[in-house]
Amino acid sequence: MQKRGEISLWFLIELVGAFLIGYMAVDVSVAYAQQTIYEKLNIAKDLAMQINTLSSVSGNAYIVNRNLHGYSLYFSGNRVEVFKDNFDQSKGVYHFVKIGGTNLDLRLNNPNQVVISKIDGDIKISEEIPNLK
Amino acid sequence: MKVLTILSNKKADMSARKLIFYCVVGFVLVAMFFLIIWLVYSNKSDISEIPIGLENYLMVQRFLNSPSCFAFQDKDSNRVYQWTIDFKKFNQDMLNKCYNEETTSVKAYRLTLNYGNKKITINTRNWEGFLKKAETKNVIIYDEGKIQRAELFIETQDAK
Repeated sequence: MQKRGEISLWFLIELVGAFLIGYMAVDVSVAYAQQTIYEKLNIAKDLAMQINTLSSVSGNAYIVNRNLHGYSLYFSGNRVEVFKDNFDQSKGVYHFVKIGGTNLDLRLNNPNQVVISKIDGDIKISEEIPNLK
Repeated sequence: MKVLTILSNKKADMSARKLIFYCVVGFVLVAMFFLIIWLVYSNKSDISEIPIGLENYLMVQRFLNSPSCFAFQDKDSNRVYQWTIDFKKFNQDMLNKCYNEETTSVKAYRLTLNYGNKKITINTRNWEGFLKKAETKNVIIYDEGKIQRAELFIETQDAK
């Protein structure tokens, strides 16, 4: 039997649930209000388009990106994610098309720059500028 | 009688009130979310728009310019001849390697090469058969040392 003043388990679950929903709602709303969601989407689209562009280049080439505004990047499969941290509810996501045996799975935390290169038919992503032959 | 007992039960009464509360709060939260999006007009959303046709243009360039796709590459000089299709390369295996995609989150293509009395049709693995746009490109074919004119019919299916 529950004593007066004792908090029930269900109440705690409700409290945690309400906190999570509130946090997510505020986070997404702030992302829209500060327009960072478009900034992240813009970077994601830009990087995806660069991968598609380099895939149509006949030789070796690279593109250096320095305007990343402190965001982190995650390249996996055929998509690129741009986000502030792991709990970011409004990630910028866009898709690209792989070429050859390229299989990307790379996370870059707050990189100063990201270099997308096409070397010998494969797309490579790194923080350093590659040495083209 | 039993129903009446449940309805008059304080615990059941509390649960029903909570359920109504959740429904109202859920509706208000969703409405507020859309209200904020509507109120905060952003011209930055225009910046993140890709110009119409640019993405399709880049994909088509991949088919015609990249030696990993169909572009002819001279073995001796390693020179790549853009918009010149190596007839030996124009097959389904090569397209799968060059356009390595199975999901419909990106554009899909069906390519038909009309060369002499030959007609070859291949498509990307994510092609589902509904056509959005089509165009014909005049290309050059390299076939066992011979160079001839040909037409490449490109059908495009938009990403879902």
